[in-house]
Amino acid sequence: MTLHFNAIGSGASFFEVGPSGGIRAASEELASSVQAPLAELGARVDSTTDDIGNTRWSTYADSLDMVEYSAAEAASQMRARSDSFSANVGGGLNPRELVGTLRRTLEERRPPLNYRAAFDTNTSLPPGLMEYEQYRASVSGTASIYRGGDGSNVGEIELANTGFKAPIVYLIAAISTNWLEQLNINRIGLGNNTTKMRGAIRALQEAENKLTWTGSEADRIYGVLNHPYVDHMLASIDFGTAQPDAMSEAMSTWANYAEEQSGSIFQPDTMLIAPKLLNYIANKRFGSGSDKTVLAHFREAHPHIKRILKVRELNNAGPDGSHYIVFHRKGAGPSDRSIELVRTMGITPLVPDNRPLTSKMFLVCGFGGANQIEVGDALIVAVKLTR
Amino acid sequence: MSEELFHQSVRDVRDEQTIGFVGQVIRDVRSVLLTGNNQAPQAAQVTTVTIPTPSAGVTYTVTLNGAVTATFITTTTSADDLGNGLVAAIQGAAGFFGMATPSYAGAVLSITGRWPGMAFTITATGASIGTPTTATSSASASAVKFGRGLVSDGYVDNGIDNSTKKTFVPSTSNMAAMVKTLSVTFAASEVYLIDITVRGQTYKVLVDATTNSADTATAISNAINGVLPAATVVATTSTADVVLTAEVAGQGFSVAYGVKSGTIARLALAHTTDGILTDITRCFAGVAVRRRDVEDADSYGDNPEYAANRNLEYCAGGRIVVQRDTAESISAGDDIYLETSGADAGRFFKTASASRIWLPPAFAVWDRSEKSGNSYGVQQLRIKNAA
Repeated sequence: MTLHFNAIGSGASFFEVGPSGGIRAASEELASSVQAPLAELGARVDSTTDDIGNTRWSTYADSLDMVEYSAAEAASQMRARSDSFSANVGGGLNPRELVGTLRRTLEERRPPLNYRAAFDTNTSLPPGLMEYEQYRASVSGTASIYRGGDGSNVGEIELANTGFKAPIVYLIAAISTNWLEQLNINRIGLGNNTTKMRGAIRALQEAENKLTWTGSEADRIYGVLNHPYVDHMLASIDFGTAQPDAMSEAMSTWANYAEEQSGSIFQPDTMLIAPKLLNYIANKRFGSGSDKTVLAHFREAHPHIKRILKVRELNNAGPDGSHYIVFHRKGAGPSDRSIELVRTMGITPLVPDNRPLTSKMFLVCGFGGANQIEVGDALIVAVKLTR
Repeated sequence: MSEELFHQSVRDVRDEQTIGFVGQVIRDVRSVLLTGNNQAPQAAQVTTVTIPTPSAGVTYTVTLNGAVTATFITTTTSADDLGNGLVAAIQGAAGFFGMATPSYAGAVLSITGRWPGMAFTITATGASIGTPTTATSSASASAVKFGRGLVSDGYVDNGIDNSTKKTFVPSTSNMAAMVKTLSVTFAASEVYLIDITVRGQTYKVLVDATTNSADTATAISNAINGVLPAATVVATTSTADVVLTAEVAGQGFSVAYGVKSGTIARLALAHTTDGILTDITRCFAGVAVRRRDVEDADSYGDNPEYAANRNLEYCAGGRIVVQRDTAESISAGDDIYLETSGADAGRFFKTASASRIWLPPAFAVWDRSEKSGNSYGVQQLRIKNAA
């Protein structure tokens, strides 16, 4: 096969490319033939000396570059390896072209965020509020036995309100792209902006998750694990060393704590448990020769616990590295739950701040932490698991 | 705005507009407006109970808020057993442990609240058990009024946010007095030179050696106190040491020293108390900004302020209107002092006092005054720099 190229210069305006190894000879031949007229041309401009001692003129150097490029193109068309060419002729193909990139870029895996699964969210408050208040009305007074008289000694039934107030904070994250970065992204078709946006959403969700569990002392946001009105208990037994009977008895006490303390008004239906504890009780046999685990027995004996959710945030979260179990009621709706999250604004992108060289975008959300609706209806137990 | 001040009488009509309201920012390209968080000072309550050496078989109780009781019956005569037994009993009393956490060491049972600013009452019964004592009272952060100067000692660290500065009004209790100690070694015929720079002014003393190190230190101390004005730095002696203490907490100063002989070891300087809150130039953050969405502290009050443990907006650069003492007439170039005491803490004055910190002109200067003839008590301050 023979290819003809229209090369720069007047004398030898064609050169041949053979099936193998002919490029180098052809381009050297071309170089010598174009050198004289180009040198005359280049004599009128400043010359430089290259690192192997040859005098080079800019015009001459440019023409050689083009010749080298054309030769490399030709070689490319013939699927010839030309990366072994000598440097002064030009390699042509980049050896990196022999490397293929897999289409999928791996992204760093992040742990699951359990706050939305564990608790329902109260979205009844509109954006813009800075605090929320929860009131509870209580009625006091008793009936009495009437034995006559004008009734002025009959005590009246009174109504009182108690309130709980907590702040709402607005979380914010920002992403930006500058002009050159955007140009790069357009050229190579990467989804950088999408990835950044996902990162910003994730950052906001992580912040909400963190606030849900441990709150923020600085901002006075109450979290579930340190809410002052959620009852706490440290298990008197160590699950790592306790007998299955004792473990079962203890878990039964906790699962029934709210019902027994409240005169059967409250009853949890959800158990959030540290995965380390759950895995342990899911494997611990209920007794020698028994085919039942502690977990299986617990589920059977406590049908009111309808949901058991593994929550990694509860691992090692208690005192002395203990793990938490949270009993609460998720219930059937807003009026039947013990803990809810207060959210005034879902994650919302604001209008991009577009400038000639940068485009910045803010994502915001409004969050008020955990609201303990029914005081006493939830119990957090710290359990040691020494193994 | 309050209802009380809503009404405008004929006498309230002003000839001219004011130059601004206290805390209002003159928004221009130099304005730097940032988010801070006021969480100082705050403290969780700590109550201690002295644990006696008990007899065996005696019942001890610790009760929270008169409602939740933790009970322990001794089996030994060990105070440690009793203390640790009460700790376990509190950890097992869910309503108690949710509000406060117990610890025991050295015959003292400590009960620490989970949240700052949340007070509780502890009662204890049992033979010879100590009366519960509040070792640390619960304290909430202080509210911040508009136009008050703020200092910062670092960033919020709540696991979510590490970009918001902790900002609070400087007070005599949260600022610290800088202390430097100059150790003097006597040598006959030596001349000691000490420069103290405070409030932008250097004061110099030259002291001849007396008869021994201690007497020479006293002579140096007297000389320093002779030249330094009130409310700057006071010198005292301790054996052969001259102890230099800032008279206003937060007023930093520097010391340079030398000796005529060149044997510099005859004076040695130690930075005895030296931290970010000892020097306004290290901790000045800016001035609290007026916002119309901040509520009054009292119903029907005209006293909006940033509530405790809330984010606030502050001006770290640019011009802002601050409250001027109407007894002071301010001219450009006058000194600026930041009050740290009482209800005026955080206000700016031009005259010095024993509780006011001098703010260097590199940080802030007085800007535009009220129009002549007006005395609404406002003044613009230009913040040039914040720490």
